[in-house]
Amino acid sequence: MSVAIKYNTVLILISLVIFGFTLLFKLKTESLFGISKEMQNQLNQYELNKRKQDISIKSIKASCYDADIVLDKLLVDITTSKNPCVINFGLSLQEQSRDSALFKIVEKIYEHAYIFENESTLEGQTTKIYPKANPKCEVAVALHFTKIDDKLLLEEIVHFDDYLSCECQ
Amino acid sequence: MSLFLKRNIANSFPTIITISFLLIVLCPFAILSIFAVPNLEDYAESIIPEVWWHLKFLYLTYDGRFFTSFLFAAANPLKIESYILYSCIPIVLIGLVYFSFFRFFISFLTKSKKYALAYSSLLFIFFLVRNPNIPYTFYYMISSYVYLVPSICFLFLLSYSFEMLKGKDSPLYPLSISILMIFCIAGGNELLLIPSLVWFFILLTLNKSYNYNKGKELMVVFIAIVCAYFLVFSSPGVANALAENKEVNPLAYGINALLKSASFMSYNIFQWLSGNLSLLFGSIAVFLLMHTDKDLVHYKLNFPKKIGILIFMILSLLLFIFPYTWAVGTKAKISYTQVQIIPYLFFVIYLMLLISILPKKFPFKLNTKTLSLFFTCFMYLALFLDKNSTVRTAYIDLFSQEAFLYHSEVMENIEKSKNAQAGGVVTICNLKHPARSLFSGVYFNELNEDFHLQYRLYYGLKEIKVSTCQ
Repeated sequence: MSVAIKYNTVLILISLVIFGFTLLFKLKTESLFGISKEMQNQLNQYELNKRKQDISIKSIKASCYDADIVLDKLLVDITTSKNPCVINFGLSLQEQSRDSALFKIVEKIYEHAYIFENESTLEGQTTKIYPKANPKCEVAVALHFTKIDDKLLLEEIVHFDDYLSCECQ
Repeated sequence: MSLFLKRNIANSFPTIITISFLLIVLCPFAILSIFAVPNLEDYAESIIPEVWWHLKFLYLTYDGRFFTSFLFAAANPLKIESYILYSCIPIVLIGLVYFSFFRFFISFLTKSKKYALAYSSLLFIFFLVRNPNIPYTFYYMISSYVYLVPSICFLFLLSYSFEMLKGKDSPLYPLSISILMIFCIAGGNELLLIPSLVWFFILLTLNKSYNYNKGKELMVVFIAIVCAYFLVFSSPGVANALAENKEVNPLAYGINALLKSASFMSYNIFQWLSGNLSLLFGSIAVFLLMHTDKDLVHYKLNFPKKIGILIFMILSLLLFIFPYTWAVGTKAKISYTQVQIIPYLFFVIYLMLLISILPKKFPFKLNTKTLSLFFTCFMYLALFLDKNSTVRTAYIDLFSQEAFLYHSEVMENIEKSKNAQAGGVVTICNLKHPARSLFSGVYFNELNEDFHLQYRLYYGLKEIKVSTCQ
């Protein structure tokens, strides 16, 4: 084999290594055909676990558009629930201050959170958080965010009563 | 006797430049490394476990910078909580920058190693003296990995790919290094995307114009560019960011970003040049030094070509900042100085290359060696007279003990955080000595509240209180 042919072979091999590396990287990162559902869940769980350690009333209030409106809506949902477990949770909140009640509710959401998914909406974003204990339970608590000055602010939390009922079953 | 001494000094002039540079200019920056401490953002990249998961997590959720993500994951001393290794990063970076300059000059300007070292020293002074942000360049790990390391890789790409072009029949070594550098640049910082493509087209043109006959090698380089940028743009994080801008008119948006780049660059160039005496004397020193260099590479360029190169250089500076103004849109700020580190580096490189294509003959007879020495002395003097000089600031930070006190204050906060009980509360003291050469500003203040969580997670703290301690 002549030197020129050998050299050409080496160049072809280098090109193949480049293609191979690119393909391998995409395969190993599980992103060749978009992110798989399992991978997305893993990423969300990691983010969720990190966020679980960041619950404080200061950060909760800072992320709300109006914390009072968010809390009032939640309290109505909890007190009108027919599930005794949810009602009991509501009663335990009565002895707390408003700030503390809001904190307890968010803490409860995180306590049972398993995976979440984000959906873009016209107003901003909706984050749905699914509970972990009951695999048959597909009720997610939905956090509606509104976009104001490029910042997403929590406008309301819905289906918290159903989410908690699901966990209490 | 005096004549003999004078001639001796003049003959060893490149060595004098190199040694004096190492002692006078590099020393304070190397010593300052001892006082480098982690910034809050560094912790964000230090709590993600493992190397592969870290890389994968950032690639899938954040951006396509796979090479910088790899550095965050694998070359991050905070992952093993080593503050000593953290302070070694700036020294390694300074060494790599110097070496990349040296390789650049050996490839493009001179065959003499002695002169290449001297040119590298002078370029390094230019790079330091009005550097837009010294802490972000050397003493802030995350930022250095994002801005400085890809720039070093880009310089290596320029050098090795040019050597590959000029090289013998089978230049496999420079070709392999060039391919590696393409992946490092693409996965390093998107600011270097357009310059990489422009450089590839320059290589193609040179190959055709000078019959270098390196078409096959350039094809391999092209494959590397396509694959590397495929990895970047197929990253889910990048796809999400691009989807957010889909309703915007791309042409109007692009023109707006280009105009903004032009306005930023005009302002910056004025700032970099105005009152910059060390740059003025340094430029004369470079020009005179080139006249003593017998191994200087001469490019035969006529006047229109020289003008063409000048226009290209000015326009290409816009390309270094354009990806930033394009990506950030209306939020792009001139005060965001870290993105100017790369354009500034190429501004000073261009300045030196422009000097090299100036007329070669003096209109009158001069003793260039003695004059070179004279102007170099003035340049060093100007470094300390210029109140905006980072070299002067580095000395002030060292001699006023500002750097030492800054280090002590941050380490005291770290010690408190380390010694706090797991899940405990710690009081972080505000800094009273934010040394200008070291402090990036990414510490406990209102702007960086997002990073408090990462700091808490790193040290296992429940709560952080920030106060002005006595």
